[in-house]
Amino acid sequence: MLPKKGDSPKEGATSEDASVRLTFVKNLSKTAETVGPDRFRDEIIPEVKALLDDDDDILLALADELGKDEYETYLGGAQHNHLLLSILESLAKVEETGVRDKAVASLSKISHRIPQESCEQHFVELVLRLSESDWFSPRSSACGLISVAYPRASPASQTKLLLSFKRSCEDPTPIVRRSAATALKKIVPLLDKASLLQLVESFKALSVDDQDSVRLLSIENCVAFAEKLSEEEKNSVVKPVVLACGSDKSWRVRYMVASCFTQLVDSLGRQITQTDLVPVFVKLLKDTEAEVRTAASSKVSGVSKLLQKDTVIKDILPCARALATDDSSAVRASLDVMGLAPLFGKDGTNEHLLELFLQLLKDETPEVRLNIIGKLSEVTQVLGLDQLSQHLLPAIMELAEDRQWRVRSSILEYIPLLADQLGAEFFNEKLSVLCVSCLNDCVFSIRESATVILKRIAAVFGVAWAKQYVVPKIVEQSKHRNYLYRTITLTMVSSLADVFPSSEIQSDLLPFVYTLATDPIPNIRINAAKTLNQLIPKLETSYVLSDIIPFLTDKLLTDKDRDVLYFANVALQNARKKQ
Amino acid sequence: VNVEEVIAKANEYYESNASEWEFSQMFGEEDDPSSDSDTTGAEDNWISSLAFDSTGRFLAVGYNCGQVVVLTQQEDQTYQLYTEFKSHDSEFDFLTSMEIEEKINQIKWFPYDSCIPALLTTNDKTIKLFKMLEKEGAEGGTEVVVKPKKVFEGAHAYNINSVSFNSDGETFISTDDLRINLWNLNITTEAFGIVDIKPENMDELSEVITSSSFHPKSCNLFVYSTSKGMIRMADLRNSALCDRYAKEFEDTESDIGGFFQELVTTISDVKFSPDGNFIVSRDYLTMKIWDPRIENKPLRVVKFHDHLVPKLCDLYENDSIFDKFECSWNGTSYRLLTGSYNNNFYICDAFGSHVTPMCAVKPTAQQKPTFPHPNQHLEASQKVLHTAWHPNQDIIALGAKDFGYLYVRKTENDPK
Repeated sequence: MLPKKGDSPKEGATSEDASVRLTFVKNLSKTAETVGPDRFRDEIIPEVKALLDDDDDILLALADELGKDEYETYLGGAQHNHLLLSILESLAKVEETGVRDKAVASLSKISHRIPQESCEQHFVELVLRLSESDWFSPRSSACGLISVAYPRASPASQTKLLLSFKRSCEDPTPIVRRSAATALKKIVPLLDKASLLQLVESFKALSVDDQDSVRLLSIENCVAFAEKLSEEEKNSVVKPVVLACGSDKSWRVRYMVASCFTQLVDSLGRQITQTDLVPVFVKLLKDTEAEVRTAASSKVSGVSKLLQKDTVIKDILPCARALATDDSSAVRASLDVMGLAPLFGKDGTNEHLLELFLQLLKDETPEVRLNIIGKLSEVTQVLGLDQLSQHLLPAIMELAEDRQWRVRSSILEYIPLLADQLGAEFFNEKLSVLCVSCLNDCVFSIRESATVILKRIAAVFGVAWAKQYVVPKIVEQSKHRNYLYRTITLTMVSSLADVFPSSEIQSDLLPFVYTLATDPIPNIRINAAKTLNQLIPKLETSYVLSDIIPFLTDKLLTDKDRDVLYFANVALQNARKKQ
Repeated sequence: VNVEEVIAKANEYYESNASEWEFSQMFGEEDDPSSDSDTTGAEDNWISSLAFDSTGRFLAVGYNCGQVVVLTQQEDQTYQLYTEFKSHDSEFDFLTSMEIEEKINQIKWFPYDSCIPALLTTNDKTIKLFKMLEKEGAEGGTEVVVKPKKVFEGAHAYNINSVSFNSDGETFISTDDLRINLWNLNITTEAFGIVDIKPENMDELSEVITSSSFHPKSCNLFVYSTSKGMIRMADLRNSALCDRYAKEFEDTESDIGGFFQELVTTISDVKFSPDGNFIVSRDYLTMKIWDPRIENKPLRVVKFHDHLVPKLCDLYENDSIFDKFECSWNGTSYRLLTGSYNNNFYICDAFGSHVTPMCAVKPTAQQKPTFPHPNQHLEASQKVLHTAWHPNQDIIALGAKDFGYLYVRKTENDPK
């Protein structure tokens, strides 16, 4: 529904039909371009304001639209940006969280473009107004805007903003306290030391809030504070909070500690980590709640890299070994121990880690095995290929024959990665059989994946390799008794054509297409025609003229099937365009 | 919490006075004398749920026909119509070939005061979140528009009996016969199953969940009651799955014995007191108040249905023994309200000994208010199943078939 010349552009806004009003909002930019800045400000903006008590999806579209950069031009310059502010302010007060969040995001974007002289009056005052509202929705939005307003505000306003933020941290409704806790980490980097210390009490209060959903947000705030405080202050201010959260009664809080652990270690530094954080991590690895253990076990490598090797051997490894036999398969599947290999070096890995890898590689749950295979690169670099391959291959083969096709599909995805790391010789000997057998899998999705995988490997190993090892397999495939499996030949051809130069396509791949174009099954002939159509752009013009066009012309005269004729014709027209 | 102090304070403050409460209002359409209440459709106008919001400004009334009526408090304390809307329509479940009724099983208001009031309503299968906006009407006055903001469906294989908001303002639970789900208000596509009592072999099914409720202030605690008279308290902090409950409350001293024992111990309603310190459970014959620290016996048993014990046989014959009565705390956690037959209701001191029986009936010039007495003929079809108590005033709402009653406590006699 584009506004036509002569139509009043505002009509959409007052329509009874909600979808028409929504279209009006989405076309606002086109309307603006049509009517020009003056009319846009005088006529269209009032219509937009009238939509402010409309349905949520219209408000959401409006909040999104008005944040876009072009509106500054549509309004006639930066001096008019404030017109948008009052609309967005109303949107930031709305009940619906989605609309409010969008309005806050758009307000943040626009704030950067407001000239400094008017920023105080238009933007900072807006934020303070929201924070003093009687209702919790605007107060909640205000928290998200404080970090945006603060850098642009005068010193007096900055004090006011901080004061209102502190009030939000003690707000009676959990909804506002949650917004405050989320916003704290964005505010911390902006403050000087004196102001930062003012917020410490609020930070501590939020970390012991009654509501679990507020407390669990403290961890990210710990990271933010630690990055700006001195060593002594980290010890006195941040460390107690981390320790408390690490043994919080609520598993959700402990989960947050586990999932943010590498950031905590980074920001708190070696000293505190060595003395205080390691015991916390060990406890999390042994937590009673499986969700927490899952989060912690995925961080084993990341955290260990920041510790001393002795600590890892003494404290972390025993836990990792226990986790490898955890009752919960989710925990075992998230255990990240592969990244420890570079830390230990060849001998260390052999001594401490190899057994662990092999145990996980034989796990009964496919996801656990897949996790190991996916992270092999770090280990192969350290250990070398031979040692691994004798254990690796049986595991890969077993996964490739798993009853669940999604598991087979996943292992197939890893083949190019393995091929790259392990080299062509290894692949030829061991993995090529696997790939080719997947071309004949009973599940179509896997057959299709196999063609893509072979293409990616061909891209790595080169055309010569493909001609020597893959093309012969295609020959066999094209002679399969079952038509479903012959069809995949054509997919294979299309796929390889992406990495073959024209001459090679013509000499090695096209013969299959010609053969299958005379296959007794019409479905295959149709696909052959479609394949030809796809290949035409990749072929040399001379070849198209000399071989393709006559072939297709002949086809159109001899074939009896209507659909084959249709697709052959399509290909022919396409070919003729090359002339 | 020192329980002795609580009891002493309650006894001191309230005096039982039969005329302490007076009739304030009645709402509902006057009975059409020619209609027979047994015909289908006549039950459509029966009240199925009552709830005051957190300020007492609004009273929501849900009906068997899926309609919700919202009343608002005027300056003179009476309630007038604010708005009404159709919450649920009946649906046909193709998989089970059963009709899903539109009856509103429960209504709960969003726990925090907001410029746009919001409430959850549920029928047997679907929970909906509605918001009420005041807009400028066509003629310049204000009109109230009610919009369904979220629909939470497809998560319950069995019939939903309760919904309850968490104090975090972000999540809520919905409970059916065998499972409890935890939802986020902003996410309708997923829910977490946190309690599941379905046995591996359904032939072994012996217990269903009858009601559940979050703690008013602690975001991690909730209670649920079962048909075997058990109350379990679960702590969301302990683990992701709450099948291993934190506490289990059971009154093992039974009064009745015999065939009806199990039928009368099934709990029809369970909730925390507004101050969060106690739990009340309503079974067929009593209300029991529990101290969360003591699991093996209730703190007090409030009896008001002893006169029904000799009549249990009749009540079983006409299926009345399966009636599910609600109960309500008052705002200060000292008193309880629950309904009964003959349109009677009881206001009981939770920690004292006073039980004030009353009858919900519109007083006329000729008829003075009557009070229930044990020898009165039992009229089981006249029942007050649904109750609600204003959060900070002594105003109570009662639902008796298609009529709602509001009673107010007279305050002239209060100690100053």
